[in-house]
Amino acid sequence: MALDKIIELSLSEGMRYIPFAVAGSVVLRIAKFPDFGFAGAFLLGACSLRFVGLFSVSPTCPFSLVLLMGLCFAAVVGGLCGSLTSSLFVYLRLNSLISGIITMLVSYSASVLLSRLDMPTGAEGRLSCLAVGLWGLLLAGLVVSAFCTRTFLRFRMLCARPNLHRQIDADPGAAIFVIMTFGNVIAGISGFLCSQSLGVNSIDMADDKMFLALTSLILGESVLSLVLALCSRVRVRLLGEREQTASIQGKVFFYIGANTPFLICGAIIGPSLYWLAFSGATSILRISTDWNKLFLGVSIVAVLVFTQLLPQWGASREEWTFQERRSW
Amino acid sequence: MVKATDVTIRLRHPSGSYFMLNCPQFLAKSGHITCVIGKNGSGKSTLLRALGGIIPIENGIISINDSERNLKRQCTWLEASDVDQLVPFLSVRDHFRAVLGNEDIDIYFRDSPDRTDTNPPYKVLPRGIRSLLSQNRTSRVCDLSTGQRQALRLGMCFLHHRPVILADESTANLDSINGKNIFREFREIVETEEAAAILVTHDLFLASEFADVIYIVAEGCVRLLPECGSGRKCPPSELRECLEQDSAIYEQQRSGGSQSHHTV
Repeated sequence: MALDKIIELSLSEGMRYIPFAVAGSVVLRIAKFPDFGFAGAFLLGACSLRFVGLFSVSPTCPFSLVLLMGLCFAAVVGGLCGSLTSSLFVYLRLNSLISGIITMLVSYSASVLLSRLDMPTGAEGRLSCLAVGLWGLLLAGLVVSAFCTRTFLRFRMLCARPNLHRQIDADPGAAIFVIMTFGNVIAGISGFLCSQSLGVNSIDMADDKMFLALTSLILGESVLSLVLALCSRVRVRLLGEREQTASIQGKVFFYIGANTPFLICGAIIGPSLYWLAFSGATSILRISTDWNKLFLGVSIVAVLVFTQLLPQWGASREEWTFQERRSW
Repeated sequence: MVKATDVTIRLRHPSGSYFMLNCPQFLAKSGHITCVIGKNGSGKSTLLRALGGIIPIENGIISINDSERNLKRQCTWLEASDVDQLVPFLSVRDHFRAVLGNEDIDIYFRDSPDRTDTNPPYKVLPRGIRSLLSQNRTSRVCDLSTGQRQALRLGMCFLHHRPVILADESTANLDSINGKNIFREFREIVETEEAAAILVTHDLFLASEFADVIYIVAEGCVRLLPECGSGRKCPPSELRECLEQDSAIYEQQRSGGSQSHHTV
């Protein structure tokens, strides 16, 4: 495959998965929750147009209204998935993995039922990759601006350090609940957008999406860390060492919105980087695209090994430790 | 004012054994600093948690300003020895913002040593904390030293304005000058705000210098040191003697068969 084709494919596929990577960033990185349920939220969001079809929408109804209804439904079912997982974890004290798995099973079953319904007429494949990418940027902006507020800053702190609850007077359970619901709302919307872009909304859609999001996030953040480190070195080389002064990119990425811009930028560039690596590898090694899942696994291991070899540049180890919150 | 009467605390360890602490009488007056001293494992932190309503008591009554309700809400906690609980990727400013909201944080870093010109008087951070953090307001926690992290943790707690301050080893990791500054700030705050401060410490010099009342926790029992009080300062050597005497008494009791540690 020619290089320009590879880049074009990577960008278009990458844009399609930006919203989902943003959702993954909120759930897996900010809430630090190993949530299998958000793949279910993605799937339910993808099937949401079939649900809209239940209401026997009039053929004269503008399709944009049908889309809007689908989008709203996707957000609602996504939020329900997030609140179910977090409620099981916080209020019923179930293990985090089991809570996510239960939600995933529930949402897969619901998706099977929804898949039997008919789609509204002409409902498939109306959105271009670019439109999905723009939606992704919009959602990313929403996440960053939300985490600039004091409430979300406190939730962010509690997700990272639940024992801080006495110092900042907030409930860690509420923090998990709100951020998980927020992340899963975005996952539901991303499922809807993705299905509209692909023109497919079957149960196979969520097959490996959680791992795709995870790989994209690790890849995006590692590359971004490397770029920032390089920029910092170039800056020091050009301007000299400045004591205790944060660089502009440092201020933007680490201080504004409680470190969220860094994570979100990783989520934005990650999917394209993943598809670039995937398309490049399949093209150079001439392997079939059926090896997608193997490639996912290998790329996760490769990126993790890479970040471990360069701990001062890559994503920190601590950040990737999914810890159980038993202290509260 | 924090008052505890005939309190018994029974703390079960995961191994099945349990620890018992008796506190016949405990009084920490508003406007006073009450220090709690004792050896490691004697039950000082357990007492503090019980007074703050974090762990349940088996018998007795604990009240804050004559109310037995909402003990947690009336206490400011300083567990500064646990500095790893700060968020490494957030800045000092973010940590203060989480407590203060949208209020201007820079006000709290003013060098004005006189609090009477501020309204309310709490709006200046303690001197020791200011000196450690004023140059690092935009630094991330991962770039701070252990002492600076401890100062940040203390600073966050100082901003709560509650009637009771419970501090567990709040000056551990701080150098002697900054440790003394923190205790001076405690003194200033309890006097101006009429708050009651209960400080657990191993630093007998600080306890001797700043405490109005000293309680000693030794081998399952909390008792008042009558030697220190009524305006008389107890020198550190005397405090050390008290601790050693209590240990000796306990050893005698134990050889006689009486124990505070039981195993189920």
